[in-house]
Amino acid sequence: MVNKVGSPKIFVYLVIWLMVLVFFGTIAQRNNGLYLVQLDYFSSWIKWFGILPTPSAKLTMLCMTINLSAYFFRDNIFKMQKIGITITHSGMLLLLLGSGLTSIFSVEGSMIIDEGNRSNFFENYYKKEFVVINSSDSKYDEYTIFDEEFLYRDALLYSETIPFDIEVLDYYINCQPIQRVYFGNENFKGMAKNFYLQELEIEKDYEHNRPGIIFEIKGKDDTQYDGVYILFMGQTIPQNFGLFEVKLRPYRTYLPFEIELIDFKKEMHPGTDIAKSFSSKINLIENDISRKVLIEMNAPLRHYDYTFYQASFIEENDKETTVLATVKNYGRIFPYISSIVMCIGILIHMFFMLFKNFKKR
Amino acid sequence: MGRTYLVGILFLLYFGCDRYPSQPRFYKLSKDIVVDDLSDDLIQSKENEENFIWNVPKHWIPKDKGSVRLASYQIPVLDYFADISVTKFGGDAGGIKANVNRWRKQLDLNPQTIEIIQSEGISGSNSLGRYTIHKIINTEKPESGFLCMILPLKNSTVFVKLNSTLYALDILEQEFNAFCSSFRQR
Repeated sequence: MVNKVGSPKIFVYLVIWLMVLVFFGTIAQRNNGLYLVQLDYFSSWIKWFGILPTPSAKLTMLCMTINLSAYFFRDNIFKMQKIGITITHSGMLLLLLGSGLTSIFSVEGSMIIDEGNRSNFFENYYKKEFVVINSSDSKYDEYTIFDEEFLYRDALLYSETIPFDIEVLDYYINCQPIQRVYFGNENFKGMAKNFYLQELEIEKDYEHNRPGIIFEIKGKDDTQYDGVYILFMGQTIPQNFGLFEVKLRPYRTYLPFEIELIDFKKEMHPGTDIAKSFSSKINLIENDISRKVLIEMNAPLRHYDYTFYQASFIEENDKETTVLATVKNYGRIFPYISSIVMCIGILIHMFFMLFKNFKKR
Repeated sequence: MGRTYLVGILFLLYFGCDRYPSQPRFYKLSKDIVVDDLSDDLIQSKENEENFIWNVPKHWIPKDKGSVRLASYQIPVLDYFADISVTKFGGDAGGIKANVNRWRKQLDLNPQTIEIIQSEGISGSNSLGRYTIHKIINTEKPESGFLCMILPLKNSTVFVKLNSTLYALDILEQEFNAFCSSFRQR
């Protein structure tokens, strides 16, 4: 059983299959955009080529993990002749474990800060969240967050923290509001009275999509009913329900510290408007203690599991705004460690092979 | 057998990890550190002959104010523009009732008594004094509605009027409130 599952032949076929996926994924990216191809070829379990189901990169790498793990259930793997191979297998498993952690837990987005302002969150490029804010407390706002996977037709959003239920009538990844020819009926509230949402094709550049949601608010029991609302991404104001407010916004990740932009600098290529380099001088504020840090194009800030790269900037009137690409990745260190481990394993194995050949002669 | 179990457990562990929560998330944030969606985009109004100034969201487009207005802006809302104007007249400029009813008439609405107008108006204050905001809409005319601020000063009255579709009024109401509360001495 262990020999069959851990067969090196399987590993070779899996590596070839991964190469095939990377090849076709790279081609598909041209037409479908990076994010959708990542979802389709790499993050899903099954990749459908027409009517043919095939394992996606995620499933392939899971099979590789099982295949390599089976090696450790063989006999005599810690003998001197095999120790090199065992270490190499460990390194490879570590690499796969790191990629698994990255795939499951990593978050990325952008942090946008105006000069003189500070922020303690970054927003995901692609994923959205539906937020119900209770602002009845004078000191705190209470946020109940429904992630995007909760948002689908006929989904019921409820929580002990909000005194009403929300039924999703429809959710569009990309849409536009269209003015109604006829006035909406009395159940339609706010924007829904005069507008409806028209679904549009998903943009190739996924971050350019403007999602919208149609939802109904009703009491916890069936006797109360409020009305039908629509929310459109990019709108400043959601509807108000007394002291409750709802928003559809990019998925936010809050940081355990704050970043204040002190100064943004950019250097242009002489005689052009093309940026040569740009940098952000920031205050990293943690527990009321701040320290100054310079983030440059090739010198990101790494703090805890977060990395802040100088990605872009916005310039309007006399105001400068920095855009920091932010990544939180628990598996960041794994490729470095696993590469070293694999190198050591291969070197040991080669050393023993060399020694064995000399002995034969 | 034991080894097969171990492989099975590894398999289950991998599948058991889910990056998405199956329950809604919940957290509290101090009102002090919440980054206000509106506050990050404000610029100070240009100098004018009056002794007060205000904050303008940077996406508002200044337009020709004419001879009567202190300032005029266009506010982009989706694919059209709402108009907002700031004017000042001497004395009480006819009072709250006359002005609100004049705006109501523009929307084919019947006049109201001062008691109803005052009860429906929303009070606010800025560093110049107390003001009232009146939302004037006619649901039969969704293409036009007003949000108006009346701010009585010592010898004059400041009026801010936002004119847009009903839908845009909903969107811009918070921005309008923030705008009205930003008036202050120069």
